[in-house]
Amino acid sequence: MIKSWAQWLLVLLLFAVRPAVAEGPQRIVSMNLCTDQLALMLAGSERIASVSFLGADPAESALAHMTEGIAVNHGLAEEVIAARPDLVLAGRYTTSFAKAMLRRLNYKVVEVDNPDTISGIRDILTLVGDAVGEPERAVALLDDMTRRLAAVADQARGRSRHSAIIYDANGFTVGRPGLADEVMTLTGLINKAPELGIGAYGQVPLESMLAVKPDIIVHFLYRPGVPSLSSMSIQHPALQVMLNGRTPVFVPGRLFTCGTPLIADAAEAMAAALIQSGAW
Amino acid sequence: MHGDAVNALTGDRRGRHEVSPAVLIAGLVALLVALSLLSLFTGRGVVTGGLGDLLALSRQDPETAWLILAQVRLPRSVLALLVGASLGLSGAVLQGLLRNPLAEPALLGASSSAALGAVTMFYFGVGGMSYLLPFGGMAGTFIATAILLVLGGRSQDTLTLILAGVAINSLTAALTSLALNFAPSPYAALEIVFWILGSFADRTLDHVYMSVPLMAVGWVLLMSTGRALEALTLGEDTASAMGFNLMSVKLRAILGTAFCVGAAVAVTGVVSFVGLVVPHILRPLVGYRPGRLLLPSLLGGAALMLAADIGVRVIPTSLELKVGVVTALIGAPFFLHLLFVLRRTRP
Repeated sequence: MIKSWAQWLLVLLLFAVRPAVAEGPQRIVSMNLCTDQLALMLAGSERIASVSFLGADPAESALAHMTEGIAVNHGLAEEVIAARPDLVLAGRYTTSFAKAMLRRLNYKVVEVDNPDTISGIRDILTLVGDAVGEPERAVALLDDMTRRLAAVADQARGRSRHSAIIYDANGFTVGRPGLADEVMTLTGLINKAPELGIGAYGQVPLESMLAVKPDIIVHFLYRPGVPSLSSMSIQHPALQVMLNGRTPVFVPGRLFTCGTPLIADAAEAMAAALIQSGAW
Repeated sequence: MHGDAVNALTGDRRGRHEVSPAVLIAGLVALLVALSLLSLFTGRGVVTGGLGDLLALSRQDPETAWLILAQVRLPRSVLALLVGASLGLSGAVLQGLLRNPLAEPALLGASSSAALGAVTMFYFGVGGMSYLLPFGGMAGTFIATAILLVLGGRSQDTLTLILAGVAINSLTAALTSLALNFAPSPYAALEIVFWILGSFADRTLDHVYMSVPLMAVGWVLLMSTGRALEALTLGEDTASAMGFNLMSVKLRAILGTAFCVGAAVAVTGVVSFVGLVVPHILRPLVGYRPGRLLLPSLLGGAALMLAADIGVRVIPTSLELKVGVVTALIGAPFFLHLLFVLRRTRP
C-alpha cells in the first residue's frame, strides 16, 4: 500500500516538474543533414519546422521516416526565414552565406561541428541538447549509444582480427581520425589506411590496395543500382582477383555520414555485415 | 595559300627541317617503346610508387606484382597509347581537311560532343559501362563534326571555324552538365570533372576491348584520306579535277574522327590539345605535306599521351591529377602562341 502511494507521489511530482508541452524552441529549423538527425533525436518531429532536403531523403538519412510532414529546405536563407524559426541549426562548414545573413537578421543560429571521433559526438550532442532545451534527453541518448557500442565490442572480443581497408566510391578511404576507423577498431578490424599515409580521408591508389592485400574490403552502400563511374571502382577485376572469391563487406553508407548517436547503428551494421560475409 | 600560312606560322622555309620518313618513324617508334616501358613501371602511392618498387615486390610476391602489372598498369598504358594515337591522327586529318592549323577534336567540339553522347548513354541508356557506350560517343562526334564541316568547311576563314567550335563546345558542355544534373547518380557533380578532363586511372582491360576495335576502324578510315589531303592543299576544285571524290573524303574523315574520338572519349573522357600540338610539332619534319603527316601524328599523339599520363602519376598531388589537366597545361599556352603568330602573319 505504502509502496503504491509512493509511486503516485512520484508521478505527481514528475508532472509538476515537467510541463506537458516541452520547453525550449518550438520552431527549430535545421539546414544540414547531420543537424537534422540531431534535432530529430533530441527534440522529436513536432518541434521541427524544417529539415534539409538531404535529411528527408531515405538514401541519405536513416531518420528520414521521422520527417514526414515537415517542410524541406535547401540551405537557403529565404526558406529558413519563411519557416519563422526560433532556433536555426547549421553545419560548421556549409551554407556560410545563409548563416551570415540569418545572423544579421538576429535569428539564433547554432553552428554544429561534424565530429570524426566518438568522443566528439558527446560534445555536440550536449551542445545541441542544451540548445533545444533537452539536456536530459542528450544524456539518455549518450548512455544508450555507449551501451550499444560496448555490446558490439563484446561481440568482437575473442574473434580473429582481420586487416581491412575501406574502398569506397572513386577509391576513397577513411584513415585516422575517422568514425569509420573507430567502428573498425571496435569490431576488431585493423585499418591499414593510416599505414598508407591516409589522414582523415583520402584516395587509396588501386595498386597500393593490391600490394597491401587486406583480408577485408569494406564498401559503403550508397544508392545501389544507380549507374555512376564512382561506384564502379569496387568492381575492378584486379580487386576480384585479390579477394579470391571473398565478397567485400557492404555497410550502409548513410550511417557513417554524420557524427551522431547513429554511429551505434553503424557499429551494429558492421558486425552484422561481418557475420554475413563470413569474416566472423 | 595554306602552305604559305603554315610557313609563316613557323617562320621556316619548306623542307628546312624535313627528315626522311623512315628515320622519323623509327625515331617515334623508339620513343614510344621507351615511354611504354616507363609507363608500365611508373606507379602511384607509398607502396608501389617508386620506379623499382614493382620489381622489388615481384621478388617477394610475384603474383601480386603480376596482378598490378597486368590488370592495373597495362590497361592504363595501352589506353593512353591508343587514345593518344587516335587524337593525334584525328587532329592531323582535321587540320588537313579544313586546311586550318587550329583544327583539333577538342577545340572544335568533337570531343565534348562525344562526352555528351557517352554521358547520355551511360547514365540514361544502358546504365553503366557497356559495349554500347562508345556508340553514344561516336554518334555525338559524328553530328558535331558534320555540323562543323557545313559551317566552316567551305570558307578558309580560321575565325569562322574556331567560333563554330566554340559554339559547339559551349552547347555540348552545357548539355553534358544538364544531363549529369538530371542523372540519378549521387556522384554526378564530381563526374562532370571526369568527362571534361579525362583520365586513364584504374581503367580495366574491358575498357580496352570495348574501344580498341572501334578506334582501329577509325584509323583505317582516317589513314585512307592521306593522298586526298595532299591534293586538297591545291584547293577543292583542283583536288576534284585530279579525280578525288571530295564527298567520300569528307565522309571518311568525319566517320573516322567519330570512331576514333567517340570511342576514346567514351572510356577516358575529353583530353584536349593532343590533336593540336602533335601535328603542329611534326609538320616541319614531314615537309608540310598533310598526307605524310598522318602516321607520324598517330605515333606522336601516342607518345605525348603516355608522357602526360606518366606525369599525372609522378606529380605528387594528394589526389591524382586528371590527364586532361596536364595536356591543357601544355596545349593551351601553345594554342595562344599559335594565335599570336597567326595575328602577326595575317593582319
